[in-house]
Amino acid sequence: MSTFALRQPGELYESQKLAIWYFVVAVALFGAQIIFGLLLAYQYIDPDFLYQKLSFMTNRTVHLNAMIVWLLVGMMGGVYWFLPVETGREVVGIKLAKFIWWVIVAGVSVVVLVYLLVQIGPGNAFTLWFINEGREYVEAPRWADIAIVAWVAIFLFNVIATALAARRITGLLGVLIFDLVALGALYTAGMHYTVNVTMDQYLWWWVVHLWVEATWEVLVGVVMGWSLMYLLGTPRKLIETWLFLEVALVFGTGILGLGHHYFWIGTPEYWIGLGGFFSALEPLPLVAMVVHAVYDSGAHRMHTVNKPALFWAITQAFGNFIGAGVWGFMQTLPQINMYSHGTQLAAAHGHFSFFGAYVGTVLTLVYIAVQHLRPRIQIPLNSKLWSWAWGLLVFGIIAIVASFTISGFAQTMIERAELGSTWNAFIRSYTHPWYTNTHWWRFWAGVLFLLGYVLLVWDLMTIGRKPATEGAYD
Amino acid sequence: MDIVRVEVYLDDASEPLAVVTEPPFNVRLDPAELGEGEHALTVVTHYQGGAKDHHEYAFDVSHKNNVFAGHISRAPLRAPIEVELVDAVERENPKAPNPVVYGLLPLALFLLVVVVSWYIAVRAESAAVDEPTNIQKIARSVAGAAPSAAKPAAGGADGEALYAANCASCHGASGEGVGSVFPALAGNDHLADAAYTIDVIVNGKPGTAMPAFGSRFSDEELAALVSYVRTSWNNSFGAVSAEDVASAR
Repeated sequence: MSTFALRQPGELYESQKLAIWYFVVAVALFGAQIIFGLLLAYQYIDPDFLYQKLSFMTNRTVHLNAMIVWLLVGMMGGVYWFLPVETGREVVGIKLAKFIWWVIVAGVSVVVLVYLLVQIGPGNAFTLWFINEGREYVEAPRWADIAIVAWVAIFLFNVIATALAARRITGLLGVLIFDLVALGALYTAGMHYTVNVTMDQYLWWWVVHLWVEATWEVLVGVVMGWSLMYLLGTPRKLIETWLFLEVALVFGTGILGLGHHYFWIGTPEYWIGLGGFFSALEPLPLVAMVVHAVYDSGAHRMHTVNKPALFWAITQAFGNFIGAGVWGFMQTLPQINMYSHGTQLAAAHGHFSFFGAYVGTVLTLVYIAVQHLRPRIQIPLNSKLWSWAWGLLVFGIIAIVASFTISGFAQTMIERAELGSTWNAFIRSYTHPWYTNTHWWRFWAGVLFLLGYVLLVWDLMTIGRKPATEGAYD
Repeated sequence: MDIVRVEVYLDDASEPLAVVTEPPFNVRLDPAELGEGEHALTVVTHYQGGAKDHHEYAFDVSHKNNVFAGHISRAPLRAPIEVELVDAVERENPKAPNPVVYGLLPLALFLLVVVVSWYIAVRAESAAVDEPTNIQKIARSVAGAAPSAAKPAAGGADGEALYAANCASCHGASGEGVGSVFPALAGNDHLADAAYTIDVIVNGKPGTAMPAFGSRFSDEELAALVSYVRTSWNNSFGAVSAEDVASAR
């Protein structure tokens, strides 16, 4: 991939045009996720707000599902963006890819409408197929599950067929192909209904954990590898060497790290040892990614073709390590998890890690694409606004995580260590000032985060439109 | 304006490195043929009619470990030509993928995961009932949760131990309750009505968090429990008998 064969807007590959649709929908869903998140934050303060119109449980479902969909869509958009550049040809099966994309957009809209319109009902075969499958994070009804698997399968076909047609395989493409196999196949594990709750959860975690802590992290490794090559001109050999190391560490620790979800769900006790050991090692690949990104940026003295994208890439490396690595490690050992699980510490980790690992990745990709949408390509891409958006989003998430962490500490102490899992402890921790005050912090931090999002969208629509001061780079 | 000729000068050279006279106006450089370090590329564009433009690119070349890589660090605005650096992989003639490894193997792995998860799920579904796990009690240090060995009441039922194990988590170890959610039992006048007290404990109180205990304990145990809450913490409403409980069921 030539690092700066910057094509003009009219010269985008069809696949890159499709990628732009992916990014538009991703950023729109990001907005929906934030709005529903703010609504949830307010319902903590006033639980009666919109009760039985938009109840907490419904908003939470939409908040989480919007997140999973937009991040996955964003990363897939990144692959559609780089794939023709990597292989030097148009993506094979692009018509099929466009068709399934619009099916998915329509499908997601229907699924969300059904969540909002049918909030309560029986759990039977009909609702399982058409309303809600009832499993947290992957509530989509089974018909939508099948559409999602078809979507990933077509995506996988695009990648494999393009590589075969271009007669070109690179380390990045090889890793991508096998990662997408795991991504698609593991999703099917979340589609089984069993009467045994332990068995049900056992397979459900194959999707939830093995997606975000294994296959998604590897996908991030691939698209961030392409991004660093584009942004900094890092040599491919360096990128691929690091990628192989990261893949070995992610799969080596993350697959059995699955055990940290098997501590208390009724699975055999050996999972406590297995999960404790391997999940404690899970931060290692994230350290590798930080070293890699910082080393590359330093080696090129931060010279880049795209400032906002490079900043988001570095934010991604640190955010992934701190949010997923440190905040995860804080509660992954079984001795600690026995007290902390089911408290808001889990939410603190969730917010920090998804923002760090995946929001950073998708925004890097979006800024890279935006550089090619203007009448003239501006190098380096820069504006004042992006840094405000970046600052507000990063500050917002840190404040949200801080308030979740503080309320989680209060819960761990009162609801677990001191009084055990009792009603008395529940009421006491829910009325403790560390718990109630942080609801307000979280809400106002969420408002700042929303403001950051508005600036981000504004920046994405305007950046590079006006050329920088004439002659500045001539 | 139509471009008639583009001249590309490397660093301070007086002779052009390349001259392009017809479209596409782009220049490809191979970092392997350039020295390591920073370079400047001056591009002179000649237009029809004699006008010309100067644009300057800056780029870095590295030769680390025989990987020849280049990267543009500064590209001019509105340069009418494109400059490309040859990518390391292009130079190395990339391998063509083996269709078995990258076509059939992924398909086989996909099916393997689907079949394994399906097998586990089918085995779980074949269980006719959801058998409860045999959970062993964990020794706890939480005050009041462990049954007290002292004071076994007549008939063997210990009201204090029953209270500690079943009621204290909400109503408090000393009957103090929690706020308005869990009513205090100490000094609670409702307890004066023995029939009401027995009814609430046996049948629970619908619409609140108070569960029914009637099916979980014998008449003797419930009588000991009701007597305990009616006579503890300065309450002096008197004891009840197992017959009272039996007649209230």
